[in-house]
Amino acid sequence: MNPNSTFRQDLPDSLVARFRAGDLDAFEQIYRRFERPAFTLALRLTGQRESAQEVLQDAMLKAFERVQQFRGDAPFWGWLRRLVVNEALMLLRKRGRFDDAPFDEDAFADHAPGPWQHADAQNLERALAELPDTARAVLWLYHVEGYTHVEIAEQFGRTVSFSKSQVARGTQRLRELLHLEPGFAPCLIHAAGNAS
Amino acid sequence: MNMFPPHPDAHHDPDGLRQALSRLPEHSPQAGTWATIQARAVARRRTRQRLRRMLPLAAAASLLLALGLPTLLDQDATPPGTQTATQPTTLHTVQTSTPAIRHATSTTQTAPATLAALQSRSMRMEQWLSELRAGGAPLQGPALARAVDLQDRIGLVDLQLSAPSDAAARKTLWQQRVNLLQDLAMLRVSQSPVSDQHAMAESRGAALQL
Repeated sequence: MNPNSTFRQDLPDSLVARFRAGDLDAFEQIYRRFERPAFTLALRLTGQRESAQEVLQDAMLKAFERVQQFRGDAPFWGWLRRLVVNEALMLLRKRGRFDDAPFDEDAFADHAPGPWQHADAQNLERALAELPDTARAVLWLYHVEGYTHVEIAEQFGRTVSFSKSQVARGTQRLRELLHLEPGFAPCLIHAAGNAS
Repeated sequence: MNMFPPHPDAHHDPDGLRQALSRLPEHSPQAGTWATIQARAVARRRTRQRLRRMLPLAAAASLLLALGLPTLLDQDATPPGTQTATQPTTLHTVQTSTPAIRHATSTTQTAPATLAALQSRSMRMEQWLSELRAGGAPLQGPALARAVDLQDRIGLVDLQLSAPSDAAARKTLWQQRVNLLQDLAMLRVSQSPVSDQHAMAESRGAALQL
């Protein structure tokens, strides 16, 4: 996980206990602490602010209603983050835009420094938002949230190859969107983008 | 999932993409999002509370229905060789006399099984009623008058049962006794607050299965 992420916050046990007891003030405190990282994660996964709003609300409400399921043997933030990821992926499924097209990751292997290293945040965000839903979500979970390919495969109900393919596809698509010469089979890239 | 340190392959970042994505700024949700969430949380909580209140009511309703179903009487066959009360207890002594009655055995049981079932049913309902009285608020006004009237009528039936009579007459009297006890039970339930009805509904099982 991104070590700078503000999602990684340890909460006082007393706050979690009050939250468990259904205390709305505790709920608000927790919301205030996590609203930005939770909304940002939802935004990165869904690519749309409106969808991120919906995901944030639903995830927070589920946290409030299902906090009894939080066993306390892992950090609260991890449990909450999983709720956000689940809600976001559920919304993507509703959109019916999960991209299952096969992708030859080896054909697009490119470990050269990417254009993102010199792109400003606005351009990179714009390009990210233009990625196919699946590729963007997988790319973010893998690179920023620190999910493994196995975990992503479980989360999506797919294979490890699916996760690897999506990372490769998303990476390559980002290169193209940032107007750097991709150097590999552009027709396939366009086909991948249109397919999703 | 993934509440622990990420797998090493998640740190594989030869092209610097992870670093670039991690540097992207965080965003804030719309102002007023908390108010929306809070309103939804409160609304859902009220819905759940309403449901929780409705469940005891539904249970109480089913209790009343069950008590009013005469068919239940036919399901109360007492197993052969077990206790059978040949004389009714009185409402005033049921709490102390019930154990004795439970262990009483009849050596002169010649009536049909339905009579035994009626006696058994009568005994269970009396016990249940005594528990209701012990745990509930006393009746007042018209409800109290109605309860006293029912108890008087039960006492009259008990008087008739203490006199020698044939099996058919005894069965009729026991049926009247059970009916009066049912009326008394329904009166009790109808006069109880909703919160108590839940407990009544729970003890209904005991009343019907003892």
